[in-house]
Amino acid sequence: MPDKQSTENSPDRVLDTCGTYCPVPVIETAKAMADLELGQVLELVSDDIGVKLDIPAWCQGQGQRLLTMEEEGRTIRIRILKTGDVA
Amino acid sequence: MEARLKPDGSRVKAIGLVSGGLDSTLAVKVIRDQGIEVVAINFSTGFCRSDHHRAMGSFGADQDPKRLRNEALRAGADLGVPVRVVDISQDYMSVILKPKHGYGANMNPCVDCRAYMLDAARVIMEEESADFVFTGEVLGQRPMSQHLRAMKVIEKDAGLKDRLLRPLSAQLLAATLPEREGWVDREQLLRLQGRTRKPQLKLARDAELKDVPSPAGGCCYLTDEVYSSRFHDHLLHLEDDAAPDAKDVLLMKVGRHFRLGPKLKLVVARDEAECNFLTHFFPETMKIEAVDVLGPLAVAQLRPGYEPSAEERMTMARMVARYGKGKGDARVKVALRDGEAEEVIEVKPMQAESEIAPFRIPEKFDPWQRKKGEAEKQES
Repeated sequence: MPDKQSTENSPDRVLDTCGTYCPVPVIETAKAMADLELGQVLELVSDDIGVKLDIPAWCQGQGQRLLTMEEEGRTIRIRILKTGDVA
Repeated sequence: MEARLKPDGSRVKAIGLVSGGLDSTLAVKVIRDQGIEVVAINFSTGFCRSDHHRAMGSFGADQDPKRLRNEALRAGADLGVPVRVVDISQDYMSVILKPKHGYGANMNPCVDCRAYMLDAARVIMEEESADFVFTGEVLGQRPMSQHLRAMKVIEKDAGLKDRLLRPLSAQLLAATLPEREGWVDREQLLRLQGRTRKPQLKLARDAELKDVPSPAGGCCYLTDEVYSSRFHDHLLHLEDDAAPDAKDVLLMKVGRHFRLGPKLKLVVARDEAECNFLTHFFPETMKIEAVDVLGPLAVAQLRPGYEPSAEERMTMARMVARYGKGKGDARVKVALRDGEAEEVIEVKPMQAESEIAPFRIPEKFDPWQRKKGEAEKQES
């Protein structure tokens, strides 16, 4: 199963948007996800606390699967599995 | 929900302009409920208050989740519709500086802004082979951009004539191409008009859209008096042919603003989050801060190549000292840092409002001053 494997292994791409704030992380996430193949995983690294709400909402609207969200200090790491085309 | 098809068997597809407010959320719902494929577009102009609130949250300001989220994304999640956030901030500046249809009460060029966004939506419609564009506009709701004549001008300027649908007021307007072709069922569209939001609130309740933000007026900084006054002041003091850049737009959102001369402005943070904001976004800009006593951080915005005089440095230091804990002290040490260079000077903090008032950029915007200032700039 690709998603199980992907949460345990390293992601297919890491996108670091630290230092940028809304709406940049969402725009960059969308671009990066569009470039991935179905079944691949993106890890977003951000220090914008808005992503904690915006990325899950983006995934829900776009039909992508949010795998994990972790917070360490000011850094937020979110993994997303590409399950469909990015509109 | 059954997909709505055209005679050739392809699914009807629409591009919706979505802020995530009550009206645009309902518009998406009305169109989506007809089985039409919707791609929602959320334009980011750089002047959105909610974007700024969210950024400030990361610097330690109010962290209420409802103020931190992007409402358009929330609407898309609630309705199962994909949302694309599109940054138009760079090209958008030309719209603000020379609006064909003029400004509203402040620096808000609402008619040109709508036309610009709809034109950008038209491009996306063509790229996506979508059939039409829709908005949450309600006839007669906003004085500048949502009366019938303005709505027609906007349609024409955006090159969208006949392919622009306003689902919330559609039954009060002439039938558009998607309605005449039967891609959209006009009978299921609405006939809302005027400034009341009661019918929309009822519809949202009936649709169990529980979390839609309550109507709160414009989200755009350009409709704000204080911001407009700063923006206008900035335009009057720009070099010929220059335009405000993204940093200028950001700086006008925070702090207390003082004009010391045509080439020099001082911005004093009002709280810790604003201090963090200035440190993060303006690493290269001259910083001024009291030493030994607590006080705010300030930045001196200079025209490229301009060196403030000794007198101007003294004035800035006295102003910054005024807003710190040393306000009542006879002397306060203040550091002025510019890159590697640092100068510490000892000053008497400004105390009387009458001393500082002449430098304050007004917190009220006067459109007449806008015209007068522009005329004077042209003459000089």
